[in-house]
Amino acid sequence: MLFKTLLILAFMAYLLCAIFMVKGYSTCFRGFIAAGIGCNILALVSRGYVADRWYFYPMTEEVYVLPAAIALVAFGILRRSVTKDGGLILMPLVITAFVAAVIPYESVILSIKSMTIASPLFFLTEAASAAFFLIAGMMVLASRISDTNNKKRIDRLILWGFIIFTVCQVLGAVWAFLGWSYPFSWSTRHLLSAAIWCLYAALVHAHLIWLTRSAQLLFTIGGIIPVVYMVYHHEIIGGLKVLLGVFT
Amino acid sequence: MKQFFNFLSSTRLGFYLLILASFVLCAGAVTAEFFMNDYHDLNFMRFPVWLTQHADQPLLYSWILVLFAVLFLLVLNTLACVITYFRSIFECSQSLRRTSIFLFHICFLFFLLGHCLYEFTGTQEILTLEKGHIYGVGVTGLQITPVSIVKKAIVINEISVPMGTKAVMNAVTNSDKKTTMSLKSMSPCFADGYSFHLSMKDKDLSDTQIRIIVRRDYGLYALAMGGIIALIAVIFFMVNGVRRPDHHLN
Repeated sequence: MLFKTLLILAFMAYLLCAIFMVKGYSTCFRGFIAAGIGCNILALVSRGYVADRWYFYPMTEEVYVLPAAIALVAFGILRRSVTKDGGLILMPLVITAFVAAVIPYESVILSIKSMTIASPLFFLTEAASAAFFLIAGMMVLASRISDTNNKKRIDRLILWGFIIFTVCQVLGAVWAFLGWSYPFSWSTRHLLSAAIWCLYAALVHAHLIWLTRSAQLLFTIGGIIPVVYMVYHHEIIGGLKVLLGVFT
Repeated sequence: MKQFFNFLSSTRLGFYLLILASFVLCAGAVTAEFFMNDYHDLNFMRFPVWLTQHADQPLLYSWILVLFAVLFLLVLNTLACVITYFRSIFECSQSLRRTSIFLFHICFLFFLLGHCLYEFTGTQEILTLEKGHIYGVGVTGLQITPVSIVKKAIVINEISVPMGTKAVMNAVTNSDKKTTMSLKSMSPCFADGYSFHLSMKDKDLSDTQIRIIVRRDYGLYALAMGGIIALIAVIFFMVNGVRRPDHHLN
């Protein structure tokens, strides 16, 4: 259970880095976030070892990649400025790392459908764009609470998230065509991805039009909901089924 | 006329249409969660055929019709924007950033064209083939014979895990031209404007049988073109970002 142990260590490191961020200890913040990223990446690498061989695609399971992606983006933003807002910005990191550490471990199921380079690249780019979108959402919330102006930084996060998400959609279409014979499927997953793409395409244009702060807050934070559902789709549906089973 | 064109090319209109499209797609995603099988059929059917089969279930298709209307307006809006951008190419010097923005809009048009062609044109057929037997592929006019089928599997924890299929097929076209197709899982084959895919839903088949999907998808060309343009636009954008990191949002 090396994989789970490393994920728990990563969660603890991320939690400590968030606490030190709030307390204003920049060196400790940097140290613990680096330790968390290290443990997270080691956990991902260990997941790729199946039946005496290394496979790339199990290492890119989104639920486990997302905390590392958020940590890298957060580190890029907060490495120079340690603020109390940082605690709020790091909240998605702590939550996603916690989810990764506590969800029941399922052994890797090898699937021929995932054995193409488009599959791991799709999941990596999707996790990276989700990290940008989640942090942008939290930064909008933080700037609203503390009344600071982070607009340029938020716009840039949304823009880069959108660019990476566009690449992700192209990779997804290639993978779907190779594996299923059609580049777009009428399924929840694909429709939600298209919805997210449209939403962030709109937000990329938001700085060109007059948009109230409240509207931007609504759309950017609203964007978190489909992004979270996209990443944790299986877990949410599985959880709901368990709940429904309990109540029926 | 000019006023109408200005309205059509306005960023504000584009913004609200994108937000509206996002909401409609979200509603569709929720609906798809409850009617998975109905929407799965749409992956193998043209939209008009699917619509006639589900004409008595407005909940299934009403949001799709709204989506098509919104996307049509978005196409007009994007076309008007592209024309405006295209005019400005001759009026001021070009940066990589402006070019990448122009390319992003072009690729969006290609994506929508591809999806439109994909939903309204093209043909598809699913066939189960037995090694050594001759089959006529209705949509293509081809006659194909699987001559070799190899199914690979590995054993993990005493469970056999399928690791793909390889099939060689002889094909004869309408004009008696003979060709050999080598199909592999995750690696489709192209012939005569058709793509041939090995279906992975093959648990019910014996070792001498395969299931193939034959498609003629005109939208694929537009989608491929859109994908290539999108990747070029991303490269331009990144190069510009590295050169002038504060220049993205000006």
